[in-house]
Amino acid sequence: MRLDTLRNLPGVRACALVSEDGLPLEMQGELGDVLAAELASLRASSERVGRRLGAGQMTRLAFTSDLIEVVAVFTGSFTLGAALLRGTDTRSAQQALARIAAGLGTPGGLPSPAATDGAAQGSEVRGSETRGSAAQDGPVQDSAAAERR
Amino acid sequence: MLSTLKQLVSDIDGAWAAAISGLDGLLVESYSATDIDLSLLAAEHAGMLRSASQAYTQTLSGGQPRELYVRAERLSVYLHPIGQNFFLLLALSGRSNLGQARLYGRDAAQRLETEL
Repeated sequence: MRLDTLRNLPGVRACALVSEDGLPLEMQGELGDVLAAELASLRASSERVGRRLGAGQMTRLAFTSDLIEVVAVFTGSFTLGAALLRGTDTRSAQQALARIAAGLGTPGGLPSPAATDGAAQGSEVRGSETRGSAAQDGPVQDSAAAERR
Repeated sequence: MLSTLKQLVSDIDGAWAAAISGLDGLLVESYSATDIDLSLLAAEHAGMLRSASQAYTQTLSGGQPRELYVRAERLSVYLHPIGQNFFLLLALSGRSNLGQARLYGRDAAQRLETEL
């Protein structure tokens, strides 16, 4: 399964690959389905923020709460994310997310957004751009985040 | 019950109404973010849930339906039975978060069962 590498990383409590309707294509962990639904919701919100700010296409998302840290990457119309225990180093999870996201764009990966739902208007081109940047951004941003810590 | 329905509409992306109805099609409680009357929606979907229930229990030996989702061109509805005689109805827009509807609808139905 695609998420096996994520599941085995230290501190990962849940992870999910989810489409824009909030239904998980794949998930791990007790809260995987909740994580999937909320990641889809957060993506919709963050894309509105990006659009309104003129910030371009959103490619990744991260936030921290009292108990967990969540990191996610957007690939095509799909979102791939993991929830880790607070205080866990998220770099390896972010790298794994980027690797999995890059793999989703290869033959045998996910179907194109246009094929999955007619409502996903215009997301096919956006998807390929997102996949590329998610895979490339991962390690670079991970290093920057580590330095900030 | 009304506060639960309001919370569902607030928490689920794309949800515009929530209702509790009997399987006889009569509304018990409802909340809508629009001024659309939910009586017809509840009555029609009660019939659909009864038909699905009959087909699954009697013809297909599949047991009682646990959820029912119908997506049309301009309307989507998610149904979750509450006990034997009632159901929760969530009216959704075309680009709603079905994952939230399923999770939070199921939780609400379990809570509401104790109140009905």
